[in-house]
Amino acid sequence: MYKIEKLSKSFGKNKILKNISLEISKGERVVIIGPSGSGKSTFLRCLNGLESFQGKIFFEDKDITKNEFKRMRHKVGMVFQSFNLFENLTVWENITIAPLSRKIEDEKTINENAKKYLSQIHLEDKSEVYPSSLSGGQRQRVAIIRTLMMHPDIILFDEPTSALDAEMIDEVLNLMMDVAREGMTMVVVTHELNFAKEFATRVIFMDEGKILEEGTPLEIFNHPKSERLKVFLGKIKH
Amino acid sequence: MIEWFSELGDRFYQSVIYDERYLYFLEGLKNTLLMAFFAAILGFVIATVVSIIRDYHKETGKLKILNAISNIYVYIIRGTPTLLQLMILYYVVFRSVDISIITVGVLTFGINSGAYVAEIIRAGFDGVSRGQKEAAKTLGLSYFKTMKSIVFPQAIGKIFPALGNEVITLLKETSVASYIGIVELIKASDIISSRTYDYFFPLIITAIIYLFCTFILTKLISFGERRLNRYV
Ligand SMILES: Nc1ncnc2c1ncn2[C@@H]1O[C@H](COP(=O)(O)OP(=O)(O)OP(=O)(O)O)[C@@H](O)[C@H]1O
Ligand SMILES: [Mg+2]
Repeated sequence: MYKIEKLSKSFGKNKILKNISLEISKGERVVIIGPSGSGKSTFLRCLNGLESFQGKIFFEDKDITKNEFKRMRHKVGMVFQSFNLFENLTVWENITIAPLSRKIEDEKTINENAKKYLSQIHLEDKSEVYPSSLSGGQRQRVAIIRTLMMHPDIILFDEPTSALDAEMIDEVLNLMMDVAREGMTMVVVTHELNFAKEFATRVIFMDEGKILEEGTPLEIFNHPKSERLKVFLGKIKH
Repeated sequence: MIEWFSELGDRFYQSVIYDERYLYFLEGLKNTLLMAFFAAILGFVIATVVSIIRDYHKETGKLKILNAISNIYVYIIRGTPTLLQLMILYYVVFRSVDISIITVGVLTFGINSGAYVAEIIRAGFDGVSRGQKEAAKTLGLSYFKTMKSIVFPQAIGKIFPALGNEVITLLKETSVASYIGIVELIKASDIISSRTYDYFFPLIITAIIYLFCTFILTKLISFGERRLNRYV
């Protein structure tokens, strides 16, 4: 689904991503872990063209810097740490604006989908409220179904629970599990290691702009090879 | 004391009632409001176009020439006095064109206000979180759809008080138009006092009319602000 060849990215003189090559296949659930500043967010942002970069990224064989990708960009969903719901639109408008505007299907189907997803996250009665009156967990769940409304082929999550109070983290992780069970391809940056163990089909450890280690959750979490990963895991457990 | 009051009454009569002089105030008020109203609309339209050109350029790097023109426009307008702009339009640009002076006034104040409002709108765009624009992008929303449905409505809500202030400024600044002979409020009071050689009532009444107008505007602004920011 994704083919990343020698991806590099600098901000001014700072080299943030260094020669990353990676393939992501349909149905995979990739979790990216790594210390702060290692380039995880930048990596995700490159994947859907929010940042310029050197190297090549292909999404379903299409070069993402070309217009043919821009036309199918909604096929790559993105969930942000800070939710980024549209503040001036109601929950209903937030989740329907993109499919209606892109006319990806008829209005009746869009409305039915919106109802279905809202009831899945138990927010049917909130469809007419504005995001400011929702809790963080509710906002993030709305943000997730907002991307689902576009029927993406893959969803990228950048620390979806980092801005949430502890008691709201599970409601978001559970929804992500539900989405995973439907067979969605997902790439998730997270510090929730317990979740990662259960959720991931593959774990990538990023450090200083490079992929230092990758493997199954078992390999990464129980048998880390590199010293840096061991140190990182040691820090995060406490 | 009584004498003073009765004299005051007489002066009031001379300044306002006699020879239907209050009609000058009405004429002045009409022209002031007319110019302020249409200039505000024109200014807003110009500012919106300018702001979108600049923002589109910032986001995509396209529209280089239009962006440069927009910047020069804002620079020139903010760097020269309104009166000078009015004189240039009146004595140079429209010198031999058959056009009403009120229209020249509206054009001047509209073009003038547009530059200031463009700066206000720019600040409004900047006030909308980058994250929402990025979310819109990843959902496949076009630049213009994002602008129309998300950025613009939020920006307008945030900058509404500043826009309101600009309208109040505009209302007062139209007094500059007396210079080219438009009978707005200041000119009206000037006409009356040049007949009576008495400045007191014409100026006081003019001040009261301005204050009344700005009072109403202030009320409208705070009402509009609450309406536009319902979602906060
Ligand atoms: N727009 C930018 N301009 C300049 N530097 C940037 C920009 N965005 C990120 N950086 C820098 O790039 C580096 C990597 O940032 P990035 O956000 O990708 O890290 P991260 O792994 O996601 O970290 P965190 O766990 O804190 O989210 C950091 O040093 C950051 O300061
Ligand atoms: Mg990050």
